[in-house]
Amino acid sequence: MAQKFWFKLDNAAKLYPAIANRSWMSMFRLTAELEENVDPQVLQSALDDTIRRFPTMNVRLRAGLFWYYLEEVPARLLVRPDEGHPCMPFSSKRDGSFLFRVFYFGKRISTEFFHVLTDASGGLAFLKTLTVRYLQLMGHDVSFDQGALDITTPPTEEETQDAFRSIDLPKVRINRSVEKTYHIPSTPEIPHTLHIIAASIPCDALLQKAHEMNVTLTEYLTALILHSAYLCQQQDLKKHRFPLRVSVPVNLRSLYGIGTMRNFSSFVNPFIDPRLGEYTFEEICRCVHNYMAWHCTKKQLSAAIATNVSDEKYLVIRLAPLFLKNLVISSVFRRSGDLHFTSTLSNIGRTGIPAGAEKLIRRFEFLLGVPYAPVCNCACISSGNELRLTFSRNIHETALPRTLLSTLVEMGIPVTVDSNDQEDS
Amino acid sequence: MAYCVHCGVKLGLNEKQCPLCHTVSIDPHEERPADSAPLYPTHTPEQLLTRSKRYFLILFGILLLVPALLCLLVDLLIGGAVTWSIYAFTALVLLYIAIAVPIWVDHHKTYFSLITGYVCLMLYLKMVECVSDSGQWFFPIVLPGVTLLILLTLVITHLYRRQILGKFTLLGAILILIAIVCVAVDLLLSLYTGGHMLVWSPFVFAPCLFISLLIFFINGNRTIREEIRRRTHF
Repeated sequence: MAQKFWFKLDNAAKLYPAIANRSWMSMFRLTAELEENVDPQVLQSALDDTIRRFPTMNVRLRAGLFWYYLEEVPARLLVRPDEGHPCMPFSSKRDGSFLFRVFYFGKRISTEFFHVLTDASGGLAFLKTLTVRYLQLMGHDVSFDQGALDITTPPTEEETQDAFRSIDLPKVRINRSVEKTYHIPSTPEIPHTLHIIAASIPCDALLQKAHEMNVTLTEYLTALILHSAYLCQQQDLKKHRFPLRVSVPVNLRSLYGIGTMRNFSSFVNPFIDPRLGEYTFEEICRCVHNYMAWHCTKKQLSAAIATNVSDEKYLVIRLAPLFLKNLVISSVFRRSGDLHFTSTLSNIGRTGIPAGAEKLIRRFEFLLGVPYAPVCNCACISSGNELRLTFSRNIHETALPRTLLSTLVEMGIPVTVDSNDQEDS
Repeated sequence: MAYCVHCGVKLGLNEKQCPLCHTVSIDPHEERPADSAPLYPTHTPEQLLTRSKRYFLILFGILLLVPALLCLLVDLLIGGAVTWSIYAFTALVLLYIAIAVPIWVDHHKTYFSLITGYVCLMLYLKMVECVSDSGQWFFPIVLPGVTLLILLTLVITHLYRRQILGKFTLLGAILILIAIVCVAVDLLLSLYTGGHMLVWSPFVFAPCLFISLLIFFINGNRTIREEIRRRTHF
């Protein structure tokens, strides 16, 4: 019998199976919106061709004695019509053993990933490759570029490697403790609910505002989230003045020059502390900019990664049985995890549309899955002159997106919003 | 495309109301393109939680039904008639209803729990009155007394959850409400036993009223409030 392809989980992925349960998993969704309706049969053929190029996606999660590992799935993943709320946990009944899904709905091709497989950059490479292959099968002359991988070439070692193990890390440990953080008062929805508000914003207008403040677009958006949360906190009758903190994932690929298709990102957590006094928006921009300038350097990020990687190297941890590790990790995550952040902003950045598909792909969309804590998370991706900012929340209130988008409108930036709440109207 | 008059954002083609503030915005002159399809699925599949709820309620029902039926069976086999087992059987059935209904309801769980518990308790006590043949005590004493208590609990819960009043004012209001309910219950008991006097409630009413008036006075007087804050650092 042929030995199945298997590999260890990368450092970032080790957390996710331990904290996943039947009602919650760390997921994200990437969508390509086309100009024409999607043909499911052609999409299935495109998926069959694409999945071979991504051996680290076509896997299932298996439990070993001490650690989880990923193993090749012999089955065929089928595309499905999109229904219900996105980013729901995987179930063996619906999804088989796969850890990602492909949906079609009208003009949209959507892929949902369990974070154990990859991060947003890896997911986007998969979606782009799938979309290009689909358009090729539809008879269009589209080439595999702008992040789409050529399916005629075999996967490289770099793409399948655990990047956390292949970089030189300093022998240091940094303090990871985070102070209690303010959460906007909210009414949690029942599990398996994910409200989406997607806003389309002209990139040039937003960039101009960011440049006026001498900050990058990610810093500007982070400052906007902090400012909006700060305004919500000011109106909070309970008068809690805990710090406001936004978790911002950082893509490490460009920093270390590694093009892995697996997880390779870290986090920085810019914050403001309203107990110290009042903040203006300009001040928040400066705080975020200075924080990022200090923490988004290779040295600081390496130190953070080294701390995470060193945990799994302790002999006691390595020898602890898997169920014990799960128990400890999940209990630690329940007490900390998302609870230490007011919100999350994941910005993929500007992504190019493959050559020949400029008039065939309308936009890309990025969505974070159901947050663990009752908060509203943001994800954004820009293509062409459109920045698509998506808010995903498992709470009833819309305070954060309302304040943030109204602020943009007041600044003179036009905002168009869509949502998945039409049925409630 | 319509704009939200409240938030100023432009609404997507499929939005009938602003997703941010839920203000209905309609552009009567809007011409929808023929191929305008919704961006997201509008059909929500059956939620896992609903399934979990259903399984839990079925399992819980079976767990309660077994002892309930066992009681009936033992009673019938030993006594030849349903006598004492009716109390156990009804209690278990009403307990199931009191727990199952609030679990099934998604919103306002606290209020539903209180009201369902109240209704079930009333039904049980009425059944006890009918079966035990111990005289007429349900309508004159139990129904108004327990109704007053549940109303008190509902009002306090509502005031606390809605944060209509400040902490001190809420404490004062609760004390006054407790004092009033105590007087009402005392009156009910007196009427039931044939008396026409308040027996114990004045001893509760007077201190409650005094403390709540004191709270309102301190709360309304900035100088005293500041003095207390200065001395206690609260």
